[in-house]
Amino acid sequence: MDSSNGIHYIELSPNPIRFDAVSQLTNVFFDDSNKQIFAVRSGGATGVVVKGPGPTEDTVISFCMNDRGGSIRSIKFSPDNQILAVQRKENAVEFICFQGDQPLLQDIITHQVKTNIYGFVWVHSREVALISNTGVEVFSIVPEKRQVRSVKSLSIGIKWFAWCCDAHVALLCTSEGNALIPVLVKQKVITKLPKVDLGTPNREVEESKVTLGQVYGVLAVLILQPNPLTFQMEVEVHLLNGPGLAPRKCHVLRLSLMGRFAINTVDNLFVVHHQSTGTSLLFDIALPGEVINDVTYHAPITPGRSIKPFALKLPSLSPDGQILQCELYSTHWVLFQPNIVIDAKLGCMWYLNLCIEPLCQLISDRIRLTELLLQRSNGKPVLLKVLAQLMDDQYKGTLIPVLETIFNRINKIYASWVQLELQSQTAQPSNVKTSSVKQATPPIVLIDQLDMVQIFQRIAHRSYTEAILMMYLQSLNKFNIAAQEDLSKIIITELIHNRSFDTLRRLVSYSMLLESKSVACYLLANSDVDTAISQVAIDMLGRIQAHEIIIEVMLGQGKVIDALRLAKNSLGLEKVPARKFLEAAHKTKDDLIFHSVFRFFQMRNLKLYETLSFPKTEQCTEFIQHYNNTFMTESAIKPQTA
Amino acid sequence: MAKLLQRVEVNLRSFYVFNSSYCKREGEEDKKVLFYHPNDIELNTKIKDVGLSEAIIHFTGTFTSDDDCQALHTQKTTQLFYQPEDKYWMVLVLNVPKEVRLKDGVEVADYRGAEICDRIYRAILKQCYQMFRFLNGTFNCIGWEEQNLDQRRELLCQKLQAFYDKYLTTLKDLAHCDIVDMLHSIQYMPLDKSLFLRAQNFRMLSEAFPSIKETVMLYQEQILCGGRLLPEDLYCLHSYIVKNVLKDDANSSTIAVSPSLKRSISESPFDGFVRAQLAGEGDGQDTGEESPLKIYISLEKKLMPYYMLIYRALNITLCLFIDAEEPEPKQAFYDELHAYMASQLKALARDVASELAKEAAGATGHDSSSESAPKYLFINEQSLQHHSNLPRLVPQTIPRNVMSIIADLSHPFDKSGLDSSPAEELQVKTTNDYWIVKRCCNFRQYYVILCNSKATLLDVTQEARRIFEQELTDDVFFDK
Repeated sequence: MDSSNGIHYIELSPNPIRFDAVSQLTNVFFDDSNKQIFAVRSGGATGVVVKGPGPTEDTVISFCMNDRGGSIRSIKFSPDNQILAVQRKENAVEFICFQGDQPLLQDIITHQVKTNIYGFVWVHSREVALISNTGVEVFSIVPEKRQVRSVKSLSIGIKWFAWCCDAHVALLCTSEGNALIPVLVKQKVITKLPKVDLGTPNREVEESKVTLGQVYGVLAVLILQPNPLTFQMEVEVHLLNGPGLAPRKCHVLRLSLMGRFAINTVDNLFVVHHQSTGTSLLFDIALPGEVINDVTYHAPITPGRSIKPFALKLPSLSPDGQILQCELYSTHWVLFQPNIVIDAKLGCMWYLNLCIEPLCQLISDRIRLTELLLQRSNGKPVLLKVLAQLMDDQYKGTLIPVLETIFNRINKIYASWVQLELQSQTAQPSNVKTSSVKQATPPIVLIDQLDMVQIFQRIAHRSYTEAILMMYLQSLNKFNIAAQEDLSKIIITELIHNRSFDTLRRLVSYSMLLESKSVACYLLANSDVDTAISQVAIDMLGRIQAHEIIIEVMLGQGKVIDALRLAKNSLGLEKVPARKFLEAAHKTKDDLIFHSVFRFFQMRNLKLYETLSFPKTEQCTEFIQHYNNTFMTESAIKPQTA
Repeated sequence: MAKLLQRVEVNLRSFYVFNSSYCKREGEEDKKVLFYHPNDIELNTKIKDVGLSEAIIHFTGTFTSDDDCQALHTQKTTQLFYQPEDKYWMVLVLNVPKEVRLKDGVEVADYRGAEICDRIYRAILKQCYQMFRFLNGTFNCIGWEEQNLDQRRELLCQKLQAFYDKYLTTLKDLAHCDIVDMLHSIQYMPLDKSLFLRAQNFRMLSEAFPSIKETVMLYQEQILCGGRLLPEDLYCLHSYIVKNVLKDDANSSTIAVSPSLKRSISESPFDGFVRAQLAGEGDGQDTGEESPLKIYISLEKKLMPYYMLIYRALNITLCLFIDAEEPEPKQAFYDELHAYMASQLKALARDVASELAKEAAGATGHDSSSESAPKYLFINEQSLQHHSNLPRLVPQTIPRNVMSIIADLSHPFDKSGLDSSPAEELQVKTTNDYWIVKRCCNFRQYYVILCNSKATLLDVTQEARRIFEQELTDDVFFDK
């Protein structure tokens, strides 16, 4: 098998669900709605073991039921595991009610119809949809009355059908005209959707060539077919995202191979397995491709590689156990949607998982990698790592345009999230039905300023840090996102470090940094580097009307008169604290300033209290004393009034 | 009544540079004189003039510190002194304006020395030095590798001669020098913030081309982004570009666009690298492999030589500074740079142009630059950025005395204290009914000039406040 260079981007889940392998006595069924494996021994008479994934460990239900003649064709539990539906004949389905995990075998409801049942799916805990050659019919099961009632039906001649449980959509292939019609089947509702446009009329599509999968929240009908020119296989992707969920042919996946294929979806990626080469190809329809006539043609993200080899530990008496290397792409494999692999011979059920880090090694185009990672559910830590590398040890000057593009990609998503959050905040108070306000779902990968700041902190004080920061700021600005405190501070730090005061001045004058007391004080704290910084800091404080801080700064610089004027204008005459200013004026040791300030407050007293003297509560006695000592002694010759 | 026959405005009498330490013994006095303008006078006169200046400096030195001698007024002349480097003195001698009147049938010259504002002309003298330093480096560093003092002196004399002979002829008419010349301030182009960031981020060029240490971008005559250049250097660069590169738009004969870029000429005559012949660099002959212009600026707190490449795309002029320690850039480098930035820079230039057009369209209707409108001048001491509607091109709309008063009122920027000077407000009424309102706050100075003979103090205060509120749009801290 091809495992020579050890990079595998798809792996089987480490703990497979084990079940009794298929044998002469045992039949195995899989219900992809409930993801349950049924191992039925001797038609159920010697036991049925149902295994399904649970939150912590696998759930197991085992019971016996009598073999009522006819081998089992299909067996499925209702979503709450309370009713078991078993099809043994082509025109009948039995419903067995359960109490706990044991069947009430005396209460079997047999529902017989005149048509040929192709299959059935549970649409609700008490409702089942039967798909037969004449149409789709939804039945309600009433165990108390032992009744099965028809709820809704759709008559249409059907050749075969496929079911996608996540989207509740059945794809019907009509017996007349071979049309593929998606049908939405929900509780009490059957909705026929516009048919899939197959290009040529009467084109016949085999059941085995069709796969239903869901990517990015949209149902996709995938049709495998050979390219008419090259005879290499392609996958047509019809997305149900047109008006009224109409399917549209949007993408074509170019496989460039021939042979047998099977398709899964993992983390919004299509995985196309090719049995003869033992490789799996990855496709992401969100990535750009070649566009011809509104259809995007995709090549695989990377050349195909095999699934990571899996070593199964067999239960054994010897302490080291026995390890079995599982055969990959085995003929015993059966694949189910979205990402289930079952090896019936081995008795294993796995999930396919994406190994994102090995995948990163295979993609050298960093922009494409960013786009890919932004859509992966666990892409964030990996993308952050990639970004950190780009800005740290892999940094080159020529990478700047690449980084710019990456920042724009990240911030586009960030901006849409900021917008959504803003809308939900503004919508809340006015909306009466608070319950109906949906909590906006965050994007798959959201990299916000704080994430970036953590990376920027690692590259602080390098020669290129300022350039990168400015570019990130430009990208934010492009998407109308304001810089927050941490980012503003790190930008300020770098600009000061590089003595780029002109840039700093202009960033502040354009309000491109956060204007807050905290940021302004951060600037003030650095104002000993250059006077330009203190100017900028005061400008910022002035803009956010933080006059009290400016007053403190001015007092600190000994500009008592300036501070006093500002205090008077901003606080109002009656609120200016006399003691504080007199104290500052006293500290300057400048008699002229002290005199001016003292006289100012005397005049204020006159205006407010109609006397020159200070109210006791202001505790200005020492300054009155100082005033008298300094200025009164010289004019003592003059007779004192008042 | 004396009849005014003629008025002669202030003009340049002489300009010289000397260093007394070059005269080791008697009889070598001529060695002190490094440069003298006008050149075509007797050596003896030059020596005498220098000697006199030396004496005055020496004499005043006994009362004040060494370089405190700033100006000497005589009846007919005003001498301005400046010591840019230790022992090197520069002297600018002006003929004061004179009015010739006919008094009792006799022509009498009336010298009006008081009309000369020392600070303006001292600033011009200082700029003479800054400009020399920008293009040649300091006096001291010229010929530093030369052991022989005489040869060093000779080299310096040559440089001075080559530079100032050209510089003095292009010097602005001294009679029209005003406060703005004194402040050495620059006008920045007000831009939308996203455009500013784009212009700013053009500095990334130095990431892709590590030899580029700094970039400065101009749009027409205004600065888009000044990089880390000190305001003084930026002013020199700006005046150099305006005088040598943009002026040539009219007669492109002195521009040599490098051969490989000639293809783009059809599109716009000024796109591509500008390789102009300069004083001291080549002799005006296009030798094909011209060396790039070498300039001296202080980026890392130290005056260092850099090669300056000038690149033009539409109305944008981009100056790139390359470390002169490295070998001269080759043609391949020019081509690579051109390929890298030509389209981007043009796109930016077009966007700036459309933004300006939009602004111009929005601003029609109120015309503040009309003759009667009040004039204002705002200066940021930190960035030497000014914002003004003073008519610069039409001289003498504002009387000289008003300009001189503003010059006298303004703060010198030289002393770099940590604190800004205290906020103040001043109102001056001139003898010819002009009012000047000055305010200063947070390292910024604001002047408003009003002309209204009947205005009361209250009117003037209100009018000034109105202008401050209307024009101070960039939202800086200003305690109104």
